[in-house]
Amino acid sequence: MSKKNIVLKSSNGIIFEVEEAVALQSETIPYMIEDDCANDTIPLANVTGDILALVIEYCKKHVVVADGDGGGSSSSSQEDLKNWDAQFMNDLDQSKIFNLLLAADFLNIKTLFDLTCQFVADTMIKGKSVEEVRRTLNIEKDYTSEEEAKARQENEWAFK
Amino acid sequence: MTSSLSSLPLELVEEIFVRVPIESLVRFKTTSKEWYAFFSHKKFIYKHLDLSQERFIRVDVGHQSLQIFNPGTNARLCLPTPGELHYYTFGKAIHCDGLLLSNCRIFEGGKYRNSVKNLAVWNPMMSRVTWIELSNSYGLYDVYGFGYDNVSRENYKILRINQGLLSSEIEIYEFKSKLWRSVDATLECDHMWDYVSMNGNMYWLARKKMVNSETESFIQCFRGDRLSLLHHHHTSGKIEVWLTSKLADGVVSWSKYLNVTHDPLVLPSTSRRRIHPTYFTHKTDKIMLLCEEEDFEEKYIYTNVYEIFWFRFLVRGNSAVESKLEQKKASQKNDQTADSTSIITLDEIAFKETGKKTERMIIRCKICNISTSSEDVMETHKLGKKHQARLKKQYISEDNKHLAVLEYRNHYSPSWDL
Repeated sequence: MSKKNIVLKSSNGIIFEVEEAVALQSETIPYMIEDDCANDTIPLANVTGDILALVIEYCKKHVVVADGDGGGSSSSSQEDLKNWDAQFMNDLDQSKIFNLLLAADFLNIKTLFDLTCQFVADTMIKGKSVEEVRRTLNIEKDYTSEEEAKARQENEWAFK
Repeated sequence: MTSSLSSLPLELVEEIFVRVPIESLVRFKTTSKEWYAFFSHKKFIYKHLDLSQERFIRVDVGHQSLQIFNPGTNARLCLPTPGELHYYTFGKAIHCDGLLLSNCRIFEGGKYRNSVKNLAVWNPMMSRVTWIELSNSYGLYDVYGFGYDNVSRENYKILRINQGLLSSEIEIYEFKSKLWRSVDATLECDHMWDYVSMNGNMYWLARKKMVNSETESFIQCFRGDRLSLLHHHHTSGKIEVWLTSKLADGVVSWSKYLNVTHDPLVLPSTSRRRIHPTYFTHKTDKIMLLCEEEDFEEKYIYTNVYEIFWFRFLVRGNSAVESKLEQKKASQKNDQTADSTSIITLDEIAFKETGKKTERMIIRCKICNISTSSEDVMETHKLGKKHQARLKKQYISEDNKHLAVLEYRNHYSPSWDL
């Protein structure tokens, strides 16, 4: 049986042709195939070309591994994949990460969504101070100084 | 194009924050009232709880502190116990949704003193304590349970069992009504000891008749839908782990998960007393085993965490998919090649007790970060100078050279509910 290819088109008109197995890691694409005509190009209005390229790179890597051991995973390939994921995320700038997160959400690729959310949580939130988080999220402080001091005092250990 | 976190939709910001560890979330509660309310939604709390990794908790009553250890990341937290619990001593707590139910007593003049307040539900992370009014008919040897029903997760319930000689009395307390009501039920078992609260239900290990046993057993949850039992034989040191089928399937059966013929817990010292081990199954299916020993001479408590896991590989056709670890053990490769032509799923391998060694147990010493599949190698390693030296450093309460009064240790998922 010959492998079926799927054509994806980014919001800025860039065309990607990928194997079906790669594209089907997205749970959104199958619906688009049903809705549209399978032979046609699938337009992804929310995803730009550079982000779609990243999504495809990720899906390609993950489809190969899943195929290699029949859906399960031996400890070494799992480890390799984890390292690859870490490297993949590390190479991206902030803007790319946020847009990748939006794309993973829109295309409903669960593992990529988990990976990007966890990466943002670990690198941009986890170790930050209260002030830094306020700045990052444009949060206006609505505590009075006394209230803040009191709240802080309750869990002093968390601020060390 | 989105280039900042604040321009993401709120659902995605929530998805990010449910993945932030509890110690950071506790800090961020002071960002703003609005955000504090956002983090405090039950939906957020339960989602965060479901994603959080299990850890070990130790409550050190003597030092009024508690330590939370994450064996997945090796991260260790040390925080004070809530002030309201100071001067109380408590037995093993019951863990449900990041909350602990403790039966607290005051220990004075060599004996336990009853006090009005003694049943506490507390959140170690948030330093919050809720005292539960005792039942009118409470007794000193009551057995408690802690959970919820599937109608309302937040309406936590406490079960009280008073096992008299002739009959047993059972009561349930609900958080919403704050009342105890009696339940018409009878218990056919006796001698309940270890227990676990999983998905709101309580499970006990019990015996119909007390027998002298060479084995101590501990019950835990496995992957959130099954129970596991760890048997530890005192003299031989043999450990067995058993699993149930999925509890939701109705008919529950037990099967052996793994066998450890060598005791990784025994250290060669007669001046040490072992404290009951505790364990949980990590999401990677590794069994995390925490064992502690008191050294009476040096007044230290040694805490060791061991990872026990199967080294499995999948078989397709006649060739085994090998991993790095496997290649190191090339000499033993022959008896590991299975001739099956089908793909064996992980579970099947784990449960299969065939003569073929398709599975291999790895023992890892977390202190030295060394893994081995040979029990002898681990034994030798444990006697080695390096391990012994590191073991000393592992001593958790570094503040003073006191034998900590350790009352409680268990698996634990931090939450900030209540």
